[in-house]
Amino acid sequence: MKKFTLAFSFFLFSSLAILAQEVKGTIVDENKEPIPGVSIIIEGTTTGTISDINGFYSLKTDQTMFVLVYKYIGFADHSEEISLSVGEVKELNVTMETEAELLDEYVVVGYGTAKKRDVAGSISSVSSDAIMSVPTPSFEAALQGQASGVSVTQGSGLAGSSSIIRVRGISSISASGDPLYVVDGVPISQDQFITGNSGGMNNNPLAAINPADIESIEILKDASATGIYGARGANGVILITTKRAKGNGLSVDFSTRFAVAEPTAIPNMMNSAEYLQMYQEAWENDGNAGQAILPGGISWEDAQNTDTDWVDETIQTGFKQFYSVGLNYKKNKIGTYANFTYDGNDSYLKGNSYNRMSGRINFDWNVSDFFKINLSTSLSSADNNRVDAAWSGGLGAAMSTALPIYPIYWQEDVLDNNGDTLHTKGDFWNDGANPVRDRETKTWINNELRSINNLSLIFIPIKNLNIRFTGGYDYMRLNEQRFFPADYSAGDSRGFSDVNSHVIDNYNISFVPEYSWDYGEDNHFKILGGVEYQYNKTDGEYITLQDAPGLIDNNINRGDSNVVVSPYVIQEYSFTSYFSRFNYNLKNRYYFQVSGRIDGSSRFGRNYRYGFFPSASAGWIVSDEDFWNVDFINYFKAKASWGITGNANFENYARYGTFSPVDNGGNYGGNPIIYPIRLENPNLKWEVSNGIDLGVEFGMKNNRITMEISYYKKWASDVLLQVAVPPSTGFDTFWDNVAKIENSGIEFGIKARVYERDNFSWTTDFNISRNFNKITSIGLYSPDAVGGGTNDTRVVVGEPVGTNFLVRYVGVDPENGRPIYLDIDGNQTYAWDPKDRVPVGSVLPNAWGGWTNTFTWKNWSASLLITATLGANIYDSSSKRQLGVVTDWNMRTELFDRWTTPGQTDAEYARLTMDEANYGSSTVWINTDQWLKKGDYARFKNLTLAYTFPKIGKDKFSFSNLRIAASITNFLTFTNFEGLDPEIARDFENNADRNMSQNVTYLTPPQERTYSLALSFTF
Amino acid sequence: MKIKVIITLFSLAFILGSCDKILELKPGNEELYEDALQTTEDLQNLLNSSYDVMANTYYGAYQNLGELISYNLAIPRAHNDYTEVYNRATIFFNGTVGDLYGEPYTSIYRANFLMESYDFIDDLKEEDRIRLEAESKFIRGLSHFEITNLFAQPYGFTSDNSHLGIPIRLVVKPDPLPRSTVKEVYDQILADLNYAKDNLPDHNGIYADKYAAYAMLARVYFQMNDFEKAAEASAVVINEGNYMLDSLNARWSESISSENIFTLVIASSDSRNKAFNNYRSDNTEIPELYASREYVEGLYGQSIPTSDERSEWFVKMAPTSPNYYYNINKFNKNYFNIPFLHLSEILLIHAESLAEQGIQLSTAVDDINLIRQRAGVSFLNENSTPEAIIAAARVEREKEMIGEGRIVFDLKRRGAKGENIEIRNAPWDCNGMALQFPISENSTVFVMNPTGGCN
Repeated sequence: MKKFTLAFSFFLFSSLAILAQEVKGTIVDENKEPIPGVSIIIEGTTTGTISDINGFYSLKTDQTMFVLVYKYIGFADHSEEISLSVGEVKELNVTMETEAELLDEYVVVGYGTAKKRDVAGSISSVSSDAIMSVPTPSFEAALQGQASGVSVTQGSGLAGSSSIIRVRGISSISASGDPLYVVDGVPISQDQFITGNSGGMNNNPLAAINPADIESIEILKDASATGIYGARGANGVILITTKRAKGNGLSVDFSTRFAVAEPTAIPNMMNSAEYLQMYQEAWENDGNAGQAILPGGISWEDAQNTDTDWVDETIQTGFKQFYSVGLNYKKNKIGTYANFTYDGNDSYLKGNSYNRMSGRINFDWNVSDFFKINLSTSLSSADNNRVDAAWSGGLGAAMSTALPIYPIYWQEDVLDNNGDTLHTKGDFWNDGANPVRDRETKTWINNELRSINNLSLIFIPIKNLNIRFTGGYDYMRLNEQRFFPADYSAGDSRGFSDVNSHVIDNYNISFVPEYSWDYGEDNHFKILGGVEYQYNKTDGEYITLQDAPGLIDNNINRGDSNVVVSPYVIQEYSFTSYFSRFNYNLKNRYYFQVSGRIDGSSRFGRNYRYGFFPSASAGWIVSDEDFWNVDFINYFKAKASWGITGNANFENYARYGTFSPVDNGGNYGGNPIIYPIRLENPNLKWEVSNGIDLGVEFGMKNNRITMEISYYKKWASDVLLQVAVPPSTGFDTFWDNVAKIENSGIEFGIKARVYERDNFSWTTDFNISRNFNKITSIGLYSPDAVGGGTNDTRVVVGEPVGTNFLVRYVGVDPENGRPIYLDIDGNQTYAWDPKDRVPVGSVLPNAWGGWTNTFTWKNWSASLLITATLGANIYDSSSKRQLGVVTDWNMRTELFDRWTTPGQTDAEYARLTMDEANYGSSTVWINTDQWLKKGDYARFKNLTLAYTFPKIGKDKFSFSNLRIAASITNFLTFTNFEGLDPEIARDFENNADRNMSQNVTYLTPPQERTYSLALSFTF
Repeated sequence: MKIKVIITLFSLAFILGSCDKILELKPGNEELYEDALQTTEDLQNLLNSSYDVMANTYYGAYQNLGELISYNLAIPRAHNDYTEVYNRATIFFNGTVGDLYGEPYTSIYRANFLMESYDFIDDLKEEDRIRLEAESKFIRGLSHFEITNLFAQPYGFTSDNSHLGIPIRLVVKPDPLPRSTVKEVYDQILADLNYAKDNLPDHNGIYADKYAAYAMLARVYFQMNDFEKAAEASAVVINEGNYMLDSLNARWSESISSENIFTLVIASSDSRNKAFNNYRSDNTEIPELYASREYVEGLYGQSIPTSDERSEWFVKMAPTSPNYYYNINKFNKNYFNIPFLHLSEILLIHAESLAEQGIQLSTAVDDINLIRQRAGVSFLNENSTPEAIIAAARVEREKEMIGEGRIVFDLKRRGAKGENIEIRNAPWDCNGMALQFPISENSTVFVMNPTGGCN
């Protein structure tokens, strides 16, 4: 019997040993009050229990070594490492800390970190999860909807395209309105216009950054937060912190994602029969008889037998793949984080992809208590396989000049008068636009090599004194390579190649001591000072090769007679800066900060070598006061800040008065000439932004609900205009600090754990921002002094930056079908004259927001991000050709709703004609507010469904955090906009265009919709 | 101890950074003023660039606009901007007009720059300075005058010339300026040209000399209907200048003709915007600009060529078609020097100015007959009345100066004088006869031209 019992016990141990060990105890809060309803789970499993009304819990398990996690709303997660012998019953009483203490969460600030609670400025943090959760063309797109006050317009469907990010409105016109990007303390090269506008796309310098490397992104919004960046802080600062080793020991994480992409909208272009019908109607309306003469020399018979769907020929289902392996090792004094990622990113445009390979090593070595070394180094190589887009061709051509009556290939041999073959059947047709031919024959690759590195040496000679020397080096090489085979450019026996090459070296060194001390129990001080020097150089060359066999390689013989090398003029700029920040914290309840920075830049004129940028802020934790008796608000902070910041992101040499050198190649009658190129502006300087910020933060129900409300106002002055100076001055443009712009706004954010019980939770995170923008002065200049590229947005005093300045359109005259406009005085007229332009709208949004809802049930989670933009106009600029005078552009099917009969009152579009004079114009480019649309939209930006597996395996070879997720992006959009996609960041000509003409669409590819499946785990 | 360490560190930091040189990064392919302008030769080179711009401006870009608003040409074939000018309805986005408007001002800017730069120059002799200044003012006066011709209503449009002219640019600065009145503009033009007349050398190589200034003055006074002064200035050129009529087509050649008073020189290698090429009918392209029937047939009748050698400048194309047209072959050359001021024009100004005053009529007839003789046309009667002389001078001007853009200014001059002038069924002073300024010229202090009224 005893034996049996023993045997039975063994049996129990081996099979039913589930309940052999036990952990039990009572859970209390800091006031020793028991907490009921706490969930207690063995980490990585679904085994768990819940505390009872007395805070008592008991959990039985078969495991002996595990981690118990205690969770309850309003309290910090608590974990205990448990080690039990077989059959042991362990008593473990736990005290949970309220999450108010958790506001000790740290945020990255300029040149350091700070407790969130201590910060009186406005800073938004975005975690790596939010950045990694969806496939985006470039990491910055993932900031959309995540932070109040930050407006993000994602780039188009082009692979690698860049988003437009505006922090608290826009206060620049000709200078860049982009925030300053700082990666691990190094301000990086962020010029969007290195290659100008090439083929309907601006190069995106941020696309080479691997999102998998990013630990967190902080967006500094108000002047007290950005003040430490002085002359470069006015448009906000985006601090990107990369991952570093943490925890203990070695872990490897792996993640992969597969996705397919399609356009969010398909242009509704006419087919061949429809086009011919409209074309013929316009022909007859113009008083012509017989069949119309068709574009491209196409006969009617051929045209009727051809029906090419060019849109279909230029789009595809894009395939995306992403693999990332991260290695995290930390032991004793050494920490290493390494990552290797491949991101293969086809867009929905045929032939277009952005494929990035990137590696990173971040190494930390705490040599001694007095000396530490931090090294960050990364290398990315990205190949962007380019296709023409927008005005340049591709899908843009499919929406414009590629007519459905045009074939892709010659349908039969074509002979000339002598019987020689002109065209061979099956070759690409080339008597008009043929985007398929362009794509298939041309090779076009942008290769970008980017390496961002820095090394910090940290000395701690005495307690609380921290001296940091940092050297940063940011290298970027951009090679835009093209090859046109022989049949593309006639007269070249083999072909033509070129490479447009730019190299940017960006150095940064800084020296930043920081010291903190306490005086008594209540007074805490911290002072930081520093000097910094940055030097940035862009060098490059353009090489062409005639009679080329293919792309130009690096070993090209530069002496070859077919090779022409044209070096670019070197562009340089530098900054030297001195800064200091002083913090005083009284009783952990009153916070004060002042900072100042002096910036000198090579860009500033003779009379303004240095600018001084002060800021001050104060915060008050009101809820810590004795008189605070609002029970349902457990945390209340009031904060206020003021500061002056600047923007110095403008042309490098605008301050100099210069002459062409005498060897400029020109002469008059054989005599050399020299001439002034630019007028000196000794007063050229940074743009000044003077801003205030008032805000409150509060937490309710033990911070189960947290809210933040801010009001800000910024007065920007000395705003730079690159004015098209009056031609009577004799020169073209001039950079001048003349304009004034005001921004004000309100931001609201709320985070709440709405429901959290019984394995189910619902959290919601909502933010909305309202911005008011107004230009208050542009000096003596007229609204046309600075044009937003070709986009008909202008600077108008009293209106926002990027005002649509257009002739007003009334409608179609029912009697004769002619379009009616309003003249400047509001009288109806048939004549379209640009002198009658008035401000009719604005492309800047008034309000925008994001709303994330996350539901978890056991190991399942579902998360939905909705973003919305209100109050912006969209100027559908290409409609004037797609729905206007009938030309060799294809038209959209809306045009069926045209005037045809006298007396017809309901026609949307005028009587068809090929003669612009019938529309009262001498040009077919008739810009009116007929093409100005409401751009309000809300969209389901991202829906992710995920399942996290319990821990698999044991001990060293265990998988944890194994997660499978499925996502859809951009899958549902609510808008009245009839065009393609209401979220528009088109290609731009320059910074003024980028500032003033977002939401102007000109054959712009729509956004992409992706369906993705992701897998990640750690072992 | 702690405090000392901290203070030391902070001061060290500031010393490290306090080096201004690292902020002096200069543009690579350009020279700063003080480096570019050091010697008299540098100033001469700067002046050369001002002439260089004129060579660009007056290789047709300027003249074509004047021809287009006149009745000399038919409607352009395809050029949108030109068609707007032809329709005398230019809008302020017209790039061709806007670019042309800026060019004379670029010459002015460089001339003004020169006159503000003497302090840079160490070796500047007074005589050089005076010559450079006289040439600069010649260019400035000439440029202001030619802009006014196209962009403002003519002198005499209002009795006191208080109507708006153009901005007068006398100093280098980027600020917008208002338009001055036509009176103010002409006062400035005369001041500049008179200075040039008094200070330019008698001979100055390819550059402007004294007679160029007199010829310019003759042109300006004639435009003002100031016949006495126009006759005086032109007489100096004719009597003292030693210019002689050349063969008919020598004016438009690679050499400098003996009748040229002021030539803008062009080399074969010049990569200029040669806007006269719009007339060229000697290559495969059909010319953009060609003569109107009204012009050719009005002057030469239906059948060309006639005995008048100048009729050979026109070729009737598609002669049997109802859509026949006349090419102008005068500019069928790869390049040529521009006879900006030539004796033919001055002779005709002289003749007409004398006849207008009713004096020296035989001299006036001789002037005209010099022109007629060269063209192979029968002489004007020695005893012609002033009216007949005036009429003859006008016909000769129209024939002689086709393509030179000036005939329309003469029509405007006559309109301002009180004659009843219509140009292609529109009054000489309808709004659109003054081209619209480019929008970039507009400012809070500037008034754009009124539009319309010519169709």
